[in-house]
Amino acid sequence: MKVNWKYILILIAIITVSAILRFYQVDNIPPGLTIDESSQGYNAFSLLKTGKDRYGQPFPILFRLFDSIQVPLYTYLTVIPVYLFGNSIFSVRFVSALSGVILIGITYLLFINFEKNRKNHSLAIISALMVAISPWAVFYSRISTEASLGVTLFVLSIMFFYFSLKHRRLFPAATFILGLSTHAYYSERILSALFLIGFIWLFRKTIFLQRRIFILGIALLIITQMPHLWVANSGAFTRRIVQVNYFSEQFFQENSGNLRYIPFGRSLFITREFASQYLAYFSPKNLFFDPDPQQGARSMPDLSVFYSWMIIPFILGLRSLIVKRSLPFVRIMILLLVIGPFSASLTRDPFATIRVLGFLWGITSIIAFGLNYLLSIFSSFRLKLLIFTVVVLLSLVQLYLAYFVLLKYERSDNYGYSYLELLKQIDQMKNQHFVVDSSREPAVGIMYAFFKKYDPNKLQNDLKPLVAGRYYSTSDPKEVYIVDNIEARPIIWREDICKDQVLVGDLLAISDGQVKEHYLRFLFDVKDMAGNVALRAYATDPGKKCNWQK
Amino acid sequence: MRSLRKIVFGRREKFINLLVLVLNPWWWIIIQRNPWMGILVFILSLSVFLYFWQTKSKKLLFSLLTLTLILFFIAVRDAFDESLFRNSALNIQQYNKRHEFYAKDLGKIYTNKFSLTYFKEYSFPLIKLQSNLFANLDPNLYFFASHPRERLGVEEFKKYSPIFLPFFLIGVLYSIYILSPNLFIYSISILLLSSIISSKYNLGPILFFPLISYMITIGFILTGRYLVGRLRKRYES
Repeated sequence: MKVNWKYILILIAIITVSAILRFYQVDNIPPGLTIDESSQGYNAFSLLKTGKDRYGQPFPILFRLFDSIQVPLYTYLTVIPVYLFGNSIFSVRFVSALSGVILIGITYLLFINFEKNRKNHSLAIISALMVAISPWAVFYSRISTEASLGVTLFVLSIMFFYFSLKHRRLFPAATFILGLSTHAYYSERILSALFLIGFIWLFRKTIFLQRRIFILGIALLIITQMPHLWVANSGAFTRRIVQVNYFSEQFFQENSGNLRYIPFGRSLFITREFASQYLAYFSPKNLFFDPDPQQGARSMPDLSVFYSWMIIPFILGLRSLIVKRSLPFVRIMILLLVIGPFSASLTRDPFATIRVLGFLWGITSIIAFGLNYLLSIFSSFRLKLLIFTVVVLLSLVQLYLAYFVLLKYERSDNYGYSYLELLKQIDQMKNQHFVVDSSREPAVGIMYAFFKKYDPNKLQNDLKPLVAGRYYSTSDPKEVYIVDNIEARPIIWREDICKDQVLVGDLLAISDGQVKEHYLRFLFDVKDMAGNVALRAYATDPGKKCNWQK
Repeated sequence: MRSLRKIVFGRREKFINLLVLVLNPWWWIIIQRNPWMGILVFILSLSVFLYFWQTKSKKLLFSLLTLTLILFFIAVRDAFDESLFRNSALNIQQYNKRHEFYAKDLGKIYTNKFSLTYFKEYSFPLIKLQSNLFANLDPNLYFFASHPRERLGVEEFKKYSPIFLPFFLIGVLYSIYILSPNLFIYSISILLLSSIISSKYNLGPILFFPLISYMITIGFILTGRYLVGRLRKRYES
């Protein structure tokens, strides 16, 4: 094949833009670390030093995180950046950001093979660019989430599946990567199974032409699932879905309204929930205007997962998909769209974007189809380029304002920024003992252990007894993190005021009444990025308060 | 009279449309709250179906546009979204905060006259317009009373039975596939007109009633045709 340098240069430019969007100030924006990020970072550090996670579990199949579970692949891969760049926010987010850049390359390769006319790579270029600048893709690439690694592996497997229709020997590679993606994120477990069934059913005539290769592929997939079988009975494998689904009797009783009183009410309730949740992922309002309604750390202010203008190419893209529905690639895309929101629709959280990144990638591809069609209306290349450049620039401006400016100020609390600032203050007061209230920020202890490179052996000694022999099966043990002169746990008023130490908490943790009642002496404030007081530190006065006890 | 009867009851497809118009909670709520609006919206819905599905007559187009405008003016009179041009205390507080953030991070790119004017005068109304516009594009609003994303301060009520949903989707996909310019322009016009009507209007996004009913009807018709075709094939073989 003759190399077209014009398109190679454009691709390099797109990858450069995407790398800038994903790596620029990634250690400052979002400011701080979430609970998941802190856990991944410290576990990677602990694995690097001891071969065990912070609970002392050697090479876990799934990682514990308080009463929840984290899928393992992201944490294992984070060992490399932690080794190379040390314990920093950059290291924790590196795998996610890199996955985001790789996803653009995969998208380009996939679309370039779809285009019949190899001389014209416009669809591949547009799709790569759309993935590069789409708000969902930028947002999730800049936080360390297993989901961004999951979507990259999943799309890579789609690429191999598509290629395997022509080169059947690639089928085992496709199933292997698909199997691997189930270790990258929860949603991929269901998505992968549905995708494989759908793919086999759609292309059964082609696939079954070489049964040996098909059997080899399935065997490889089963091998990748062995670790899941190992923990299948422990409850850890299904804990997350049990925590977030709407199948329980209690949830039905509390939320079903009049359905409680009619026959088959529960089945009807579950059907209604599923249908409404599933439909919400196709709602233009959710896709193009309203941000993700989950906790603040899952969205950016005033910007949804796509730009509002994208609704027009989306509609045209849908049309292209319907028109070209007999093509294998388009059939794969339609399959992805149909099954994409399935796993997320089993949960009670409305429009939880983190659970549908594969689906969002599919929607981005449809937008690329539509945009390609729109641009093909104009014959002049210069006019096309002008329109395209203006639209992309306006999108980048919108992204910059929402993400790089507003998110930093308005959402800093969701990323524990004030606790990071507190750590700087604590470092200047090494002689004092600190109790940091963790009622609303359970990750603060792990975060401090990570940044202070706290000896994993010591932390393992503290935490291992809590889960001894029941690593996968216990839930919610009361974890107290003691990192040098810092104790991260809820304040115990009866005891803590009788020790000479500093109590730190947010405005809900320590009230003005408690300050007066316990003779607390104000030391300092910690403000969030918007300038609001987030944390307050008080010195105790055991002499005054607890003398009567003596 | 005979011609009117012929138009309304002439073919089975019109009968399907009539059933869709009557067998939904939304129309009954409109009738209960404002009978005249109920009749108006019923006639308009029928016109929309007849014009876009059956007869491209100019007279029908004229009546369709006239009825749409009448409906729009009544809705605007009852529920014009005044918040478009009036900022709440929360908006003003948010504006002041954001003003600080932008000025701090963007410097002169923000503190020039053009940017400041845009931000102060136009950014909030534009966001609110967009919000109204996209609020009407939410299928959950029509089939699940906005569940699972219910809106604060808005009376959510069921508009269509979820049983109609598959037919609605078929209708939408078919319309996108055909991409009739007339239907496209009509839909865009309704979308734009509705964006100045408050989402708290007690009759809901009433301008969309004819369009949604139309989509459901053609979904029914296409499904019926497909099933009849399949049965015929099987019978013949």
